[in-house]
Order: sequence, then C-alpha cells, then structure tokens
Amino acid sequence: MNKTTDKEQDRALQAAMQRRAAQVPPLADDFAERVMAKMNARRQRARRYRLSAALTGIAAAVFVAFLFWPESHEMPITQPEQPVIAEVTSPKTEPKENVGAEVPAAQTHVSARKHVAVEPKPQHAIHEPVLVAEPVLAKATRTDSFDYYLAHLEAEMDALDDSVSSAQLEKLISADARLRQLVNRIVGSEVEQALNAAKPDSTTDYLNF
Amino acid sequence: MTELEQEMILVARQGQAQGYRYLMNRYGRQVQLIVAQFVSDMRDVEELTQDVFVRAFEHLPDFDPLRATFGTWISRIAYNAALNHLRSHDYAPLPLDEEQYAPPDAVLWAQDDEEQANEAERLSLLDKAINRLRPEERTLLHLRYYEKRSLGEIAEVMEVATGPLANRLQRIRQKLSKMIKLTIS
Repeated sequence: MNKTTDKEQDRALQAAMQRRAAQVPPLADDFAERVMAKMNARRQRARRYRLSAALTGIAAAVFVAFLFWPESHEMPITQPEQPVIAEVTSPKTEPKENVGAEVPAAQTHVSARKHVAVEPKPQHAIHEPVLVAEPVLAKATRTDSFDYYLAHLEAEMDALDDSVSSAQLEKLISADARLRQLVNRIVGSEVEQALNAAKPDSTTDYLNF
Repeated sequence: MTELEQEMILVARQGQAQGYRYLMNRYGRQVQLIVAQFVSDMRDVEELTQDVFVRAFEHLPDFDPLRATFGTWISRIAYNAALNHLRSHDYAPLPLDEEQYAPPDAVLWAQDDEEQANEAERLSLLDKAINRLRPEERTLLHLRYYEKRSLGEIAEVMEVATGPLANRLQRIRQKLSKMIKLTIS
C-alpha cells in the first residue's frame, strides 16, 4: 500500500489554501480612505464624550455646592441689632377656599411693635394662602422673628373660613414644628395673661382694703 | 521588519496619514484573508478588516517591535477580532490548547482510497473538507500553509502554546483525511 507522504499532503494543503485565498476578492480601492474616516469619526466621538463628561462633572459640582452651601437668605437671629420697620405685603396667592379678601394682617395685629420683615421659610405641605413679606433685610433679633411668625399665624387663622374644620387646622399646625412652637407660645402667653389678670394684686388690695 | 517599515510605523505613531496608508497597503490583504477564515460574507469581511486596522492604529503606541513583528501583531488583532465577531453570534470558540488528545498517527491519508478519485475530484473533496473545519482550524492551516509561518509565530498569533498547536495541526490533517474517505466511500 502506497501511503501519501507528509510532503505530498503538505503540498496538497498549500494548494488548497491558495485556492481558498484566490476566492477572496481584493480589498476595495477606497479601503484606506474608509479606515481613515472611521478613525476620525471615533476621535470626534471620543472628544465629544470627554467634553460632555467634563460638563457633567462641572454641573454636578455646582449642584452639590449649591446643596451644601449655607442658605444666605435665612435671617441671622443671633445678631442683636436694632430692628428696622419693614413693610409686609398681603398674601399674593388666592385663598384656596375663597375665604375672603387679602388682608395685611401683620400690620393690623402687631402695629405696636417694630418688626422686621424677614423672608419666611417655606412651610411644609400647606395649601393655604401664604403671606409673602417684602424681604427688607435688616438685623433682627430672635424676638422679632418670633413676633413675625406669631403675626403670620394669626393672619392665617383670620384668613381661614369657619368651614375649615378644627381637624384640618390641627393638621396644619402639627405639620410644622415651628407653628407648633408658636401656637404653644401664644396659648402660653394667653394663659399667663389670664392668670395674671385673675391673680389679686396684693398691694392694691391691701391699700384698698 | 525592514527599515522602511520601521520608519512608517514611527510616522503612523505621529498620526500622519502616510504611515497609515503604507501599513494598510502592506498588510491589508493579510488581515483580510485571516478574517475570511471566520466570515463568509465579503461585506462583513471588508467591514471587519477596516475595524482591525482602526483598532491597530488606535493601539499603535502599544506595539513593541522587540516582542513581535508588525505582521504578527496585526495578525493577532485580526484573529481576535474575527473570533469576537463570531462570539457575538453565539459561537463557542474551539479550545486549541488542549493537550488531552492522544498523539496523532504518523500515517495520515490513505492513498489507496484517494487514488480511486481523479485529481480534480480530490482537490474538490479537499476544499470541501477544509470548508467544514472550524474557523480556528482553518486559520491554523492558512497561517501554516499559505503564509508559511513557523509554529512559534502561529502560537503568537493565536495565543496558544506551540506543543498543543503541533498536535492540533496533525489532528486537523487526520480529520481532513477521514472526511475525504467518508466522502469517497
């Protein structure tokens, strides 16, 4: 039996691979141009990606800085300076329940005192008309700030229609911790005044005895 | 690697089109034929060949002439690109580096069976048998018998050890022989 030698098999395989290669058509004439165009397109895409990544990073940094920046519009309540009379405007928004005309309640109820109009902090989950004050910024005391909020609360309560149930009012007050404090302060001062009024003046009584 | 080629590689590294064009003219066909062992559609072959050069030029700074010639380096890129192209179509690559196979027989094709077919038929049978091989096996045959590369260079291209590669080559020859025999019988 005559076996095919390895060399003959190698030659057969070489010829077979050459036949296979001959079946593959040559590259297109503009092959190099197409490759260069692809390379340029990829470079431009990479450049655009780097630019957008840089812009996104800058925007994110600005956003984070804005989030953690101390709020400059908050009143520094520790500054013990002279209060300045400021104007308080009536609520700009329309009352939700059509409870009546806009009333500059702050002026009505706290006319005897000087106060500072401070830009109030936004209240939580309140759909009632909001008293917006002119931000006449000045140096104010803690007492003036609370007086303002007292006036604000009283104005709110005056603006409310009787049809608003007390439960709704309770919800309103309990939604905001500051309002709760103010209500407690109001009630406390009212109670104290009432107690003081009822309490006998020992000196006077003694003199009138 | 010739001096001209070294110079053109430096020119290409500087981003000059002249360097790129030289390398594409020099190795375009080589890359195309490697890719053609994996892909039958000529449009895909052209597209893949372009992608190979784009990738090669982007990684030109990584090419170390002391480790391999440019031809070997770009052939490896072409081989991997073609294999990844098939993988994206759910192709499971053939493990070429397995040494579990028994050493191949020394005698391969049986001449007595082949002599029953005429020359043209034998060539046709061999071509058909090669078409039925796995792409990696065809590439091995192409690099060995068309480009006439050494087993060491083929091992660099296909990233396989030389020993298993030699065994694999012999197994391929056995497989071809069996296929031809089956066809004849």
